[in-house]
Amino acid sequence: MDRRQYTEQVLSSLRRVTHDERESIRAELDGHMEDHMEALRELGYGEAEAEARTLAAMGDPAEVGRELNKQYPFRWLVAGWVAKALAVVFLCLLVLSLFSPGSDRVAGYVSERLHPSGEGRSEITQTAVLQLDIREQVGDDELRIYQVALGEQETETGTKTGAEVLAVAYDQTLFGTVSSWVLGDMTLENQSGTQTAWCGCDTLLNPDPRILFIRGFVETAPGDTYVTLSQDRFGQSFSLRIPLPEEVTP
Amino acid sequence: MRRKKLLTRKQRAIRWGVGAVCLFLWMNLALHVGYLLPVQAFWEMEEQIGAGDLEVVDRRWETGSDFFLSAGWLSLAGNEHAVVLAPEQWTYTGWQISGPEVLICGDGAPLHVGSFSVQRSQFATGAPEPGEAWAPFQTAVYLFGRVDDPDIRSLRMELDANRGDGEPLEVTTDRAEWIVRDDGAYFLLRQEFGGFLITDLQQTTAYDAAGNVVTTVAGGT
Repeated sequence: MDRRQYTEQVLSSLRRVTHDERESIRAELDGHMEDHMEALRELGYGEAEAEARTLAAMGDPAEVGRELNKQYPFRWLVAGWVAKALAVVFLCLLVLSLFSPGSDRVAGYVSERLHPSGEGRSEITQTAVLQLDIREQVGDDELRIYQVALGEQETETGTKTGAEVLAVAYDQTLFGTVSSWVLGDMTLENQSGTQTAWCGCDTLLNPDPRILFIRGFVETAPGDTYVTLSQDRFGQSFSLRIPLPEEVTP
Repeated sequence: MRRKKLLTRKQRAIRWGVGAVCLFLWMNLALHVGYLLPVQAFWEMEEQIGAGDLEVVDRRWETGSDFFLSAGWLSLAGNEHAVVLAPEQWTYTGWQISGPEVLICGDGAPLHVGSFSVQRSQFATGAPEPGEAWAPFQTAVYLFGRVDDPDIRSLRMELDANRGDGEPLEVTTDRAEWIVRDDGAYFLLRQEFGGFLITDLQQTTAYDAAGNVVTTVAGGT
């Protein structure tokens, strides 16, 4: 019996191994026998003698096969298949979810949470802008007002002059869910209390459960120095006074 | 000769398992998708509403509705701040609750009531019996809410439905059908009507044990 026949006898006694595992065992056996033969050659043995001594040292091929079978338990093969299948399913779900609105903006979410930007979110013709960093803890969420501007807004009933407030809201836990019912639906009031307006987030247009992009506009009077953002819902209430920028007179 | 270290089956299975768990946690925690349990979708809904923990007082397995994609859970839950009707459905990205109906409470009102309707198509109900005509649509209307006044013993709800005859639909219920809790008596009714109806809750009248009107509420609260 030569090395190749020995290896084939060992492999023939293996049960329930995959093709890759069979080839790995073949390579392992061949490499082990080659190492043994190389050592014998260095001691002065001839090729045939080295091979015979190596095969004798390896032992009965059927016994070797039985021992190898014990090292490849079937239950772990099944466990590996199940784990691999689950990983593939989850990867497919992950890819599918990237096409769902809002769920793909991980980088954008982190960026907006750290440095909220009013770019592209203002809907008024601005005459004065003030950058802010007013933060309010509301339950386990954080409301962050980052910009207020004075200007004009086109409405169905005509042009209105007032103040626009931009904010973001997110859960204090990274990637957590923010309360759209509390922070997506607030009230903005002018200084004299004569005008109130909705301030919040259209969750149909922004369905991301992790962050709310909030906007509100309320008419103001010349000389107003602040507007008030408030909420009183589900036992959570706050009233924030937001300073207005000074208008630049031409 | 240096040979590449071979992983055992156990090591390979554990590595794939760890990878699957990491993917699963990323989907759930960062992307909020892939919920394998309906309670995960419920917890996210609680966070989105922001009214605190909600106690589930009634939960039903609903079948045969286009809205539920043939099956899903319908949960009635509430606390001192809100009453919520949450339809939980299985989608290709896991369990989801889209569009829960929320009644804002805590204002001292004696009654909180809302409505929710779904349409069922012929594909969900199956072919008609021999001799029967096709019923292309049926509408299931859910009326839910909470009675906070213990004197209220029965309710009569009027719904406007676009049936063309101008007649409102009426649904009545009494305290025997309600689920009494410490914070009030919850109710969840289901009525089915033929046709594709868009219903609108017009008015709810509450009566005491003697049949006297306790309060009348226009629309949903």
